[in-house]
Amino acid sequence: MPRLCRQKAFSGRKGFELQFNWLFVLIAGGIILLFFFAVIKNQASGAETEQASELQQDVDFLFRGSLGSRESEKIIPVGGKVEFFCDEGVSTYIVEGSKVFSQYNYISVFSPSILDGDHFLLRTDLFRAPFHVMPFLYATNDNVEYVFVGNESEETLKILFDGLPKNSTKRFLDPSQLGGFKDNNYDFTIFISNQSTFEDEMSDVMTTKLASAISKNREDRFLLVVLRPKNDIVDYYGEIDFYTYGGSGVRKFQKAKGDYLFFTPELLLGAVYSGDASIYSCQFQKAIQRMNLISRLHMERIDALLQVPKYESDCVAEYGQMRNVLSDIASQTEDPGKSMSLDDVGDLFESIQEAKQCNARLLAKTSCHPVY
Amino acid sequence: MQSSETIFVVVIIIMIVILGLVFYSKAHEGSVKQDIREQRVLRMISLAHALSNWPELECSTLDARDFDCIDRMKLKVLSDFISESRSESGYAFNYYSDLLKRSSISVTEIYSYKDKESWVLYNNSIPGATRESVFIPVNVYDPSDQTFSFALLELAVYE
Repeated sequence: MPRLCRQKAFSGRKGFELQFNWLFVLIAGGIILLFFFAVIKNQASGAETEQASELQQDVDFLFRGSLGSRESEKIIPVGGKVEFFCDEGVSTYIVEGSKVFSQYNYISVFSPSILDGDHFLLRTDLFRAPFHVMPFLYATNDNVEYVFVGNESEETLKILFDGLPKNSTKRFLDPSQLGGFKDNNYDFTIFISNQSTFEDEMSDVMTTKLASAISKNREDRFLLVVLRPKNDIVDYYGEIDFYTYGGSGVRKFQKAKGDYLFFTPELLLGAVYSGDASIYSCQFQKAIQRMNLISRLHMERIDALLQVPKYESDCVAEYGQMRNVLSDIASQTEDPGKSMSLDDVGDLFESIQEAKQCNARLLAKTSCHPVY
Repeated sequence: MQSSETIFVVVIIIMIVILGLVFYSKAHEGSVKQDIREQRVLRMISLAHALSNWPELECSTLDARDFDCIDRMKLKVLSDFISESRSESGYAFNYYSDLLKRSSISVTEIYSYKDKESWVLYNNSIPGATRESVFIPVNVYDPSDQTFSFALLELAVYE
């Protein structure tokens, strides 16, 4: 276009209109583009949150579904990181990317505090004391390493070793080989030891021999569980000590404060799976509360059974004794918030054994119906 | 004139975009409702599965267990127990509320040589709410005379 024509085209009112037109198109087009970019960004972040939320629902469904499971072992594909917390008796978990915590205050799940991977290894076992109380769910994955310090001839360690899933990362390690231990960069490494091995080999050895294997930025990934069953029998009662490595600039295992106790093998297995004192403590309290509830139900059922006139006097006597034992169990488990001593747990264990014997006697008499 | 045309075009484009968003949100609402229903059904199934293995109801002789068997004595005791726990607002109340939420559970005998009975174990229904229910056939065992009857356990979930 010749210069004079261009000048005429863009001068005057018509020229102003033309320039305004282009300006308007630029601004409006820019706003529309910005709008679409905002929608796309919103959709992308919404999709991530939706994925995390779906995973959280899947985990919730897994936990609630376990309430109906009997003893079982499964591999569940779960793509993501799940963190478990227990604070002042409230159990929560959250999936990475989710904005909301989920509570699981009435389901017992023994697991390390973080599970990160593409699948969970789940085991369900019934907690009996001696009647069915509730299912325990044990969760781990192959990114958690379980190192049993000792050898396969030690019965307690062997039983617990077999209690872990076949596909889990687990091994025995002779105490003399602790010096050669290498950090294989697992999410957690949980050492499990019995009391005698710990006192003979580990309390000082751990301070020095492992210090070179554990780098400072991974100290919180090393845990130790020391098992102290009374009389060294798994199917008994006893204490558990939980240790974490490092903290406060100290390069050794430090014991978690508090007393941690068990009175059934299922609880001991839970301590091994989780390696975490607070998670174990929460699940222990849930088990105690549930024991109290079920024992009271069984007492009421006995009261209903005793109203049936057909039972002979020896049945009535046994039911009466069983009711007393259940009443003891109910009173021993009445206050889960109260810290139990080893003697309290010992009394509870004895009550459980007495209930077992009582029920067996009822079963032996064909005219009486067992309580559980 | 030209700027009027441009403004008109932009307004038309914005209206088309808004219409598209409205249609998308309507279609999405349908799929969200479907997802909510699926979640409700899944919750119901997992609860039904949990109930079938409830220590509060199951028949058992030491560690041997009869599948889909409910103890008649426990039925009688449990509904009173849950009602009492609601008035106490303790652990038992919290436990059953968390597990059962907005649902109702009842057991009705449909074949028995005695008088047929029915029990309402738990009722936390919402009048007028959406309801999904499932029926589970169960055996009801009476330990007093060691007899069985046939019943249906109805689990209804409300939302």
